[in-house]
Amino acid sequence: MKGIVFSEFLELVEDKFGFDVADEIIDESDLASDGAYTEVGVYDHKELLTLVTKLSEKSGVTVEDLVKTFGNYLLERFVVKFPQYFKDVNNSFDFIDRVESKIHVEVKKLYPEAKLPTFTTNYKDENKLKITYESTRPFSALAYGMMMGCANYYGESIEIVSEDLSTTNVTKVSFTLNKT
Amino acid sequence: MSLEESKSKQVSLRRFQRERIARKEAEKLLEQKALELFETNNSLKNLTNNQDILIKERTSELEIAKNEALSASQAKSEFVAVMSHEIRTPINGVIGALSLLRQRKLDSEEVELLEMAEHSSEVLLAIINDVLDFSKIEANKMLMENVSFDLRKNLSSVYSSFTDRAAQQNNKLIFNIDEKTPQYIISDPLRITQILNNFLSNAIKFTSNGEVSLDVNCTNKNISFCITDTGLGISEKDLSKLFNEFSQVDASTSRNYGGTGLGLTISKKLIQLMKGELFYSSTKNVGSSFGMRLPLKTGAESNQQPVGLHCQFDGRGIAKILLVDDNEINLRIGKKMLESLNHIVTTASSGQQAIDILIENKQVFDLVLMDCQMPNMDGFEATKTIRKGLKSLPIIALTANTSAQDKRRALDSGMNDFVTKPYKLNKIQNTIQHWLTKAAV
Repeated sequence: MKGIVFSEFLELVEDKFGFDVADEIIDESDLASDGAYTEVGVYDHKELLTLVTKLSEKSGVTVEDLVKTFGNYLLERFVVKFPQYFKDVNNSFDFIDRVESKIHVEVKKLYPEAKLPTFTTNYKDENKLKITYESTRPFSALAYGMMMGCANYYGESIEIVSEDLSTTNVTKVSFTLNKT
Repeated sequence: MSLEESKSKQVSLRRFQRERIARKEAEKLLEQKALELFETNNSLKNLTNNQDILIKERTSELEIAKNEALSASQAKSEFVAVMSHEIRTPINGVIGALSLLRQRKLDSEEVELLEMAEHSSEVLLAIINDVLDFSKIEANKMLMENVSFDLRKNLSSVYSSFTDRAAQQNNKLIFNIDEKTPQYIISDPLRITQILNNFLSNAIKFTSNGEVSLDVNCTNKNISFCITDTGLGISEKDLSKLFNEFSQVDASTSRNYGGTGLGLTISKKLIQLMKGELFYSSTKNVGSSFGMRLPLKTGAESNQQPVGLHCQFDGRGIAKILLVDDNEINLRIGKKMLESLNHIVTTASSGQQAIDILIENKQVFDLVLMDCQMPNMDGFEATKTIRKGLKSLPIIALTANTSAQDKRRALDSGMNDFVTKPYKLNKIQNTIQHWLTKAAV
């Protein structure tokens, strides 16, 4: 998993929970990377799971909620770091629909070895979007959070319903987004 | 320091260490990427350079190939033109000499021999014309005319030219021309006649005691000419081979019936060049049908049309004629032919010599017969110069080329008329008499 996810996570933790907590969860997690993440590096996704779990223990917030909140935050950070992807679109459904074809495509050009989740649009109209998320890593909550973050960015109010279609090694979730 | 401060310091230290590790990792990645980029750039540069070199090479190869092709094309044109002239000149000599021989008192044996020689030379001429046409078409040097001409008159001449041959094999010859057929059409009269001649002579050749008919029909857009016969017919197998060059359907037919086997191929290609359609069908022992459908363009009577040869053989007018030709045999035969018609002949073997005689020496003549194809100064050039001094002297072109283009060239250079080589006695006499009469008026 790319370093940017880790570095953004730690910055959020530092921001919301303080430097000490951030330091603690790193220290107590016994990470191979020692928690020294650079955005352009690549690290084992399990380290993120460990860090989030440790944070959940310390904060009392569920792992799922923590990841959803992080997803929301991450999207906002992406708006700042990669504004070009948000310029041509003016609503969340169009943006989410294009994640696979416009954004992931570009990422793979620069980082051909990157393992990204896939998004498949099943249905789309003015008020409803049905999209399937598939990955070998268990971060559907991150996707959930990012989609909410996207709706927030475009000033929309949406409701997301998830349907878990996962199997043993594959995380597969069908998200239905409704405009409210 | 308190426990709090100490802990805080440790946290900061660890944080600082993590930052440093992360930074160094980022630097390492940066170096790596920079190197990759440099190498990719180099490869691209090399690739571009190679492409440039390749493009230059290809361009120059193409340039060379193009020039070679142009050269070859030029060479073909010249070959066809030169051969055309070179071959026709001696034939002209043979036909001319035979024509003169005709005039003498001959016993029956001699007449028989003469007729064989004349017939053979006519066949030879036909074959040579076919071969030259074929090579012209193959070299893509065959140009089609687009002139307005009298179609009905043309068909009438064609009819007349076949009546004897048809009668020889006891065939009835019928021409049916649709009322809607216009008098004048725009096309290539020479080539249309050539194709009709080809189809008609085939039809007559392969039919005895039967019927050969030409049907001309018109719609708004097309005109079709269809020649039908009740002759031998052609089997399906042979029909498919028919338009292959050099194939006479049956080897024995060429021995029995003669012909180069080129006629149909040439007709087919001429029809294509006129943007028309060839059609044919045949049933063995029943008969055959060959025809063409051409786009119809109605024409109008045109004053450009060169003067025809309509006057009667008079025999009265005696002319002082200047005969110009670079070929000695043509000159000698031409002189004898004209003298046999009681004309007074002076010869010149070049355009310059003709100019000297007419302009410098101011010798007076009634008529000039000017060969067109001569080295150094051709007949057209010589005529242009002569015309500067002598406006009304009739100058008649003698030419082996019969395209409307060449006829126009003759008229444009100041010539009054033309006679195609090889020419027969009465043909040249008709022309001479016509212009003598005109001048007298």
